[in-house]
Amino acid sequence: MLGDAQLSNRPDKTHRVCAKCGVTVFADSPRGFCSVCLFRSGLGLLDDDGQYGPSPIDMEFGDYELLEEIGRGGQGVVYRARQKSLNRTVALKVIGLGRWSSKPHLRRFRHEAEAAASLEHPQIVPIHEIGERDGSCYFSMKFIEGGRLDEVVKREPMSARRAAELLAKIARTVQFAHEHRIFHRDIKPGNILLDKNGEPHLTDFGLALLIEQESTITNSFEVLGTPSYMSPEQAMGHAKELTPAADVYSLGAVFYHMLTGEPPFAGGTTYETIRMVLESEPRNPRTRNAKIDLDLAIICLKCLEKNPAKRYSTAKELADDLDRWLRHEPIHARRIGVFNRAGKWVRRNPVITTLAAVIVVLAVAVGTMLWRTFGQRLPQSGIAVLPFENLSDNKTDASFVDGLQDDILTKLAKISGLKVISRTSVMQYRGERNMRKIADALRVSHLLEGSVRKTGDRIHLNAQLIDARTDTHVWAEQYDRALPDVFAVQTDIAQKVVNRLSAKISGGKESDRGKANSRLTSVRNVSSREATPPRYSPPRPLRYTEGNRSD
Amino acid sequence: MLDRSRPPNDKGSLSTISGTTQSGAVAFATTHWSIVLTAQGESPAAREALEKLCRTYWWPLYGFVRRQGSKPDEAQDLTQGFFALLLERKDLDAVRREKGRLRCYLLTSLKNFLAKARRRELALKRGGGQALVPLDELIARERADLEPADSLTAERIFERRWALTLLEQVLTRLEREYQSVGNAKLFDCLKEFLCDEPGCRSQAELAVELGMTENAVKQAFHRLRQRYRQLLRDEISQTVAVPGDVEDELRHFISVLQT
Repeated sequence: MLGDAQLSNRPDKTHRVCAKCGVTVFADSPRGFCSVCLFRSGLGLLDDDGQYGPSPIDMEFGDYELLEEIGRGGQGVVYRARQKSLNRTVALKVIGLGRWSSKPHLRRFRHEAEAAASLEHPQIVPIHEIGERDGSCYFSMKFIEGGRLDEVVKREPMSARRAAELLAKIARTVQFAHEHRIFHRDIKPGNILLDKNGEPHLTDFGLALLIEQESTITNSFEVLGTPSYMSPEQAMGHAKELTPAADVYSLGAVFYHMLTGEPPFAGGTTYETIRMVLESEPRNPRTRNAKIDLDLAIICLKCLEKNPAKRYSTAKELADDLDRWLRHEPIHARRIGVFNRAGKWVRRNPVITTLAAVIVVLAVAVGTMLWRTFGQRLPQSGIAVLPFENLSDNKTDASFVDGLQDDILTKLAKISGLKVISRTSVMQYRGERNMRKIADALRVSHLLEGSVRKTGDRIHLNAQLIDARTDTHVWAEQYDRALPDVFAVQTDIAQKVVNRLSAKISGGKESDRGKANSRLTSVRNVSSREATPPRYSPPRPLRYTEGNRSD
Repeated sequence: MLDRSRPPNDKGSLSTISGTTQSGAVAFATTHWSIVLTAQGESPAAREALEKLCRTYWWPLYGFVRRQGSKPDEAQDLTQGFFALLLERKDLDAVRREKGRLRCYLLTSLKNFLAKARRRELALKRGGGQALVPLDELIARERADLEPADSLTAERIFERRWALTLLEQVLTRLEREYQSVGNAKLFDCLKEFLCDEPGCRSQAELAVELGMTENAVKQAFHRLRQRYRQLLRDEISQTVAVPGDVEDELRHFISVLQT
């Protein structure tokens, strides 16, 4: 058997050195060519390829004179061209035939062109002509002199305000398309052009799918769109099940890129990127850029929720929230509850979570032992029940919402030993977002805030207990109940608040246990409206998206 | 005219690429390797696809075996035996773990195979007489003694040969396309521009030689290069399962051949 030494004892059959790249070209190189240069040519990396910059091609394509290649996408090449008959500059997208241009591919192209041509909007690049020529399909569109959004962001970081303004416009453009039953499905910075005036224009409806058609163009093997800006449901190939929320996701990813300079997910390969889209939580944009406003980060992350139901349900809602931010008004998107945030953190850090759980168990054991020894008293720090926000479409529900808050306040006020600020004092803080400021003014340690949406005979309520001293959520709950259950909800909220503020009832003195029980009982019994004992049922996850309201 | 379906000619047709793999908008279900990856259980299509891929890429595998220290006939037996065993396999879970690149999968499988192989079992596993490793070509290449072996590891030889095999496949396909429409001479003249090495004749000089305008030569080369790129990516796509891996493979080969 030949050893390595013997194998290597052969004369070096050097052929020559490549005059372009300097690599040694051996005799086994195909046709005597430099294989490195051949591969680089295949990638389009050689100097005169023009792949990464405009280069004159000087070619004819029917009525069009191709001037330079300006883009390359999954379905075709885009040229800057001159339409000879009208002597105007256009952008010409061409898809040729060959192995990559299967019938599904061509059908998709036709859908793209027809869908885009039907839309007339100042922020959508207008289509001039659609056609086929010598086995190739093409469409010509208005040439936007400017640059792609990704190029602009790369050149110069964009201010948060500017980013919010742009995204709001783009979101409304997408909403327009959705109202005409057209999804974009490939929203990314590369498909957003900025003209000379800095106005955005949406292009490349390459994956537009008319939702009223039963299309079989895409199957589970074809995942269309750019992975970094693709929604999880799109990445999984659920083309037929896409909703407007998929485009909302992509808008959020674009926004993330504008704010941080990077997409939310970018793996080394398409495979890795898709895996991240499906499995990973996006990093808070504020960790990449601490200057990003908290509310903008909230808006961005809401768009990037894995569950479509948790995003803005329409692009318009997204645009509306951005406009609120621009007007310095409170946004509707909520910071995710402490439980949801914890859940996402656990998914990101399973090992640390396990260790932390062990530590917590030990700490609870020690803490319980200490509590049994020294007892625990109800803290005399106080709570203020802030006016709940009315998210209902019907403005007349405001009085219902106020009444709900008032009932909870009343229940808590009857708990002995618990300082509860009066309704009169708290109402002035309606809409105020600075928790610490409120707590300092009212001299309380805790604040209870919430939002209510009444739809038909159901209410959706979100309540949060905040420790104003540390500005942290102590407790949060979402309720989705039938209207008759509102009393039980109020009681449950009050009970939970008391539980949080009271001592743990376990192994304490009999007298202490009795006092705690009586407090809980008083919570249950206090209600002038309760004709029958309230019916308690475990809270169910809120089904609607927070801040989901159309103006 | 814009036409990429017909073989290139110099009558003014323009070829374009229908797309890179960046957005993944490609019907990968039809590529050989993706068929193998998605085959469930015994699938004639998967077996045929895998066999075709093995026939194409036996040379780099053989080179690996040789570099591990086997004599030519021994290496041929081992490589042949490896292919036979591969084609009998029904469990492709390991393939999916390799993220779907045929090159990585074959190398890993071959290493495992070599570690376990014994000569008696190889004699029994010669694929029922079906020779996937062409002996005459093997001998010719061995005698030509063409490649550097001094400082290359077995893996490096494998990677290098894989890249060169791929290129040879592409150039052969491209040449055949031009030959089929009577443009063999045009191909012979234009192909040298693919590498754009200094010292080659200019396109203007070629235009004079071929009796064409310089612009026509320019266009003809543009079509050839576009078609070359398509075929190169197509060839790579046969060995990967994810569209985005095509670009990765291309860059990987460049780095392999540069060292």
